[in-house]
Amino acid sequence: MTELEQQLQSARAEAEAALAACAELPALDQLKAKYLGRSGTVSAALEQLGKLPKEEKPRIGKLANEIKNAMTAAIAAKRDELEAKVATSGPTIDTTLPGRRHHIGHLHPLTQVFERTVEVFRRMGFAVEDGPEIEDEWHCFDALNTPANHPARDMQDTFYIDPKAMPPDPQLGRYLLRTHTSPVQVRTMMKQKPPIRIVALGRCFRRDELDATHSPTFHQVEGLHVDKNVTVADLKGTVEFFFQQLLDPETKVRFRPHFFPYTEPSFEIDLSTPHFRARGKEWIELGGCGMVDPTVFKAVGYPDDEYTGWAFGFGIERLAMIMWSINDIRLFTENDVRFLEQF
Amino acid sequence: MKFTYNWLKQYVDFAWSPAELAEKLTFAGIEVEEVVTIGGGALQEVVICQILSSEKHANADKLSVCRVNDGQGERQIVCGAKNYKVGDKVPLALPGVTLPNGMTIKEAKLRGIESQGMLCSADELGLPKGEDGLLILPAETQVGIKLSDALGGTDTVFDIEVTPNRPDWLSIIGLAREVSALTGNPLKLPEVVVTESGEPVEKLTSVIVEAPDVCPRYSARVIQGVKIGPSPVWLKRILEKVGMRSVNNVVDATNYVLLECGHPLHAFDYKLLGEKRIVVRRANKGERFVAIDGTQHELAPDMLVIADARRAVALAGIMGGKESEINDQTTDVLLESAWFLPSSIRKTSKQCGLSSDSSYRFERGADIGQVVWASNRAAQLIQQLSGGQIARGIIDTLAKPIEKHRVRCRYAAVNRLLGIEVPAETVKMIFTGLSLELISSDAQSCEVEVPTFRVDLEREVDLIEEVCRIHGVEKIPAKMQPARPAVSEFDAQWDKRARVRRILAGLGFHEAQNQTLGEQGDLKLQNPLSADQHALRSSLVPGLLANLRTNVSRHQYDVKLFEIGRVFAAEGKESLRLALAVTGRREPESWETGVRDAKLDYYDVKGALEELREMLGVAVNAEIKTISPAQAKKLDLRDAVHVAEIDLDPLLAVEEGERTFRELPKFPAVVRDVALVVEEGVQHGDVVVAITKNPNKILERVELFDIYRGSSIPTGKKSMAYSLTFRAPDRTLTDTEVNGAHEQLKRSLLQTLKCEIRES
Repeated sequence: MTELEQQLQSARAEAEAALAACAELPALDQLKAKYLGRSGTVSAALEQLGKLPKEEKPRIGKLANEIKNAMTAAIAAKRDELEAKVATSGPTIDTTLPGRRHHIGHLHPLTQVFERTVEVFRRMGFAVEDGPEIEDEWHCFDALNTPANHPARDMQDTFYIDPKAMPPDPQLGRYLLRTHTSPVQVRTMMKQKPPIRIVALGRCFRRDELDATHSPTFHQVEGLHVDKNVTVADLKGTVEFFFQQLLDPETKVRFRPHFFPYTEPSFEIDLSTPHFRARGKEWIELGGCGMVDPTVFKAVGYPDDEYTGWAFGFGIERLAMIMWSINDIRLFTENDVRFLEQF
Repeated sequence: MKFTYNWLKQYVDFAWSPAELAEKLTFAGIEVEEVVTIGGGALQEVVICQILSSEKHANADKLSVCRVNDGQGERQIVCGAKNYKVGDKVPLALPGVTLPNGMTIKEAKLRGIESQGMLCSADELGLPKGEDGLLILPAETQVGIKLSDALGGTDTVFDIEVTPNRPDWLSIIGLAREVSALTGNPLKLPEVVVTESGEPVEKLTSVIVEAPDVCPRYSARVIQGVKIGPSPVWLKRILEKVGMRSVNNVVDATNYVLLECGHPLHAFDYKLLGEKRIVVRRANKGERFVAIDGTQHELAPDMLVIADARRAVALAGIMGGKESEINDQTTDVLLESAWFLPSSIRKTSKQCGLSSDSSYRFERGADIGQVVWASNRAAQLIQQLSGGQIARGIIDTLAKPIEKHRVRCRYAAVNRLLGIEVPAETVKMIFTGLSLELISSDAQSCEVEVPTFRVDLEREVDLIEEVCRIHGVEKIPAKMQPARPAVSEFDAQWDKRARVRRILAGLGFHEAQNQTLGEQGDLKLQNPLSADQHALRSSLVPGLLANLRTNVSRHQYDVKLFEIGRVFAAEGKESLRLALAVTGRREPESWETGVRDAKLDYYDVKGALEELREMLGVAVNAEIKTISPAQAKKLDLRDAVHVAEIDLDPLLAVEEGERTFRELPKFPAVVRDVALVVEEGVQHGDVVVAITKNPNKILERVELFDIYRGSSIPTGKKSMAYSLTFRAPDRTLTDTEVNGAHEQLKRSLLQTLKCEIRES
């Protein structure tokens, strides 16, 4: 055995012993430097290889490489072992502490009803339409078969805009805050021919004092489908599908004959969901619907007897109040964060 | 409107219980608001007894001791009433019965004499108040039966809401007609026989209609020699049940006919009419009128009045006048039955602020065809209740015969609208069941004549509605047309708004919604509800500030809100805005120590807008306003408030810039820092301009990473540290290249800005 061979073997034995005794990562780093570092024992031995007789070179070279590889592997294994130990020591994680949160904001409950409504209408192939909140009498009333002496047009029920700011239009009449979203129907029908499938939603106004159940500002949604052969059967199917999607697949829908100036026949819609039933309410009235009155088609310039269509609508606040058992409409505009965070 | 179950049964047969009737009416389109059973409770326990004897109580002047027969045997009752005589039949509450006033009857000694029950007054039984003392029942009443049976049994009062298109339902006969159509059972109308005598009516009065455009029909009868007095019990009871006050036998008769057939009538005291004649005319300007309810009115020339030779004696179709009303001395009655134009009644009623059961019906449309029937029916009742002679004949001004509408209904149109096949025979049966007269019919269609009481049936579609209603909407199956792709110009807008909302929510902002109407705004209402809601908002900020105040007043000090909503300019232009408002601490309460007390500031709002710009890929420019803590305290807020408001329309209208992928760098970057000590007044923007003024090809990014004031920096100055990233797209940069560029940059900074470079 050459001197170098002996040197290598004893370095290996020493390193193995040191490695076995090593318990901390910094000590391991020192150990690695001592044996495998640039000026470490193994490297030093390898540098002497050149001085060896030619016939010994391959054997000892091979031995040196074996020792180097073995030590590298042993150190790596020790490192894994020590790191694992570090990871599981130290302060333990209290899994019951709350996580570190970013507190995402909440969308307003009315917005949530709006968005869900639009989602369902889109599943049925309806486009979203929009219209102005300041309307004129023609679009809000006349075109919807609500003539000049109709009680809905009273100053008592409708907000009119200061005529000094917006003088009445000779054709369209006085300017007002729309009392329903139905003028959007009129505007849409005037700009395009059937087939029309739209959903319109937005803010409406009525001259009601603000209290727990009334607000001068409120929101409505309405759908309109006009084509050559749209029937009451289609209306029923659509309304049913809509509320089953929006509320609960077990929702039952009931139609009661009613009267609206712009539809004929007209119905009120009653709903019954498992949720309402569990709270002892069999039927809840929600919204109205009907077949578009021929007078409306005439007003928008459609030819006689060519098209039929249905329209249906409901109040967003009322639906939200029923859905979530909200007992005061004023909560929607107070914007108390404790209210908003519940939705 | 109210009606009762038993009363309705007098006009049509049906086998439904009150609950079933309510359901049937509901599905015929009559909304039933309330159903109340009356005559139940105590009335079913109180029995009828006959008074056998009555003697004065030995120990009390005001009491008597009666022996009564209750059908089972004799009892002794102590009684305080005076209005009875021996032999009368009266209600007896036996021991154990609880009266509506809560009193439970017990056997007791009253002033030493045993009383085995209590004789009752109407009041004590919760019945309409009659004369003082015991309720005396008709002599033929059977002893021992329950009081409720003696009073005609229990009854159920329905309160219904009638839609404005169906004034014919505002009467018991109208409702009976509907039940008749639903059941197929015939309508039972009361037999009207008018026994006329004496002088012809034309000798007693005259009617001149000066305004036939608004009063196409006016009829008058005269009844002489009536005796005004209270109405009989049956009539009082019906009026009471439906919530009408009993006045006297003549007025009650006209009210009864109004409830029965829906036609409003008016009875004048004939002798109080100037020249005892009627003129239907428009009011004179400034003419004064005092209504029966005592209200005074100054009339305008477009209002229709019923006048005598001198003055207005009634506001046509709305209310009679005080000066000519039926009173205790009235002996002769002029009975009006007329028809007025609905729009005229509505307008006058509103202008005068006066409405009545009469105006309610006229303004919806009364039945011009039953003017004479109603008059005859009322004359008959008046004679029956108050005696008198009905003068011969009736004055009726109807100039030309009433034209009845004829409407054709095509069966194909029915099926096309309803979506089901309704057999032609069914359609015709529905029409005739509704009293529409079938004029002609063929394989494709039929034509009907519409009775005058159906003011709502003018077009084919109105008839189709009737088919739908009577046939039953529940028989129409629910179908759906297949979905089709649909998109509007607005769809993209809607989606973008939804994205904006989600980005802001993701940043921790809650969404608020505020009222449009408020105190502040450039566009005003003509008819506001109140001064604090007189304007349309021209900014979203006041609403959000109010929300912050609400929250802070409720001890929610840390609030981040946004709102998307419309605002209005002075000339009416609408635009969509987005506003943000923040106050309080930046981080929510946490168990970790650290930045928990840092307050939200300008840079939080600015950062949110920058996120929006980044996510939407469009420029977002907004002025951020800060309300200092001192100002905030004046607004009942605690911490500083920061708000921003932007016009959303232009932002949503911008087509999103097309995004193109940039290849990721292949060569490493070299980062060098530079720290500048500058005057306080120097801004970050100035530094960026100075750095980028002489663009360096290999300078990739400039990032401010520290601003420092304090020891080692002279007062009035600050240190700003930037990290500069150098990179070339096609090679690894050498130290020499980077050093050169860095030195050049430092030189250029020294030249442009008044600064020192701090070497670290």
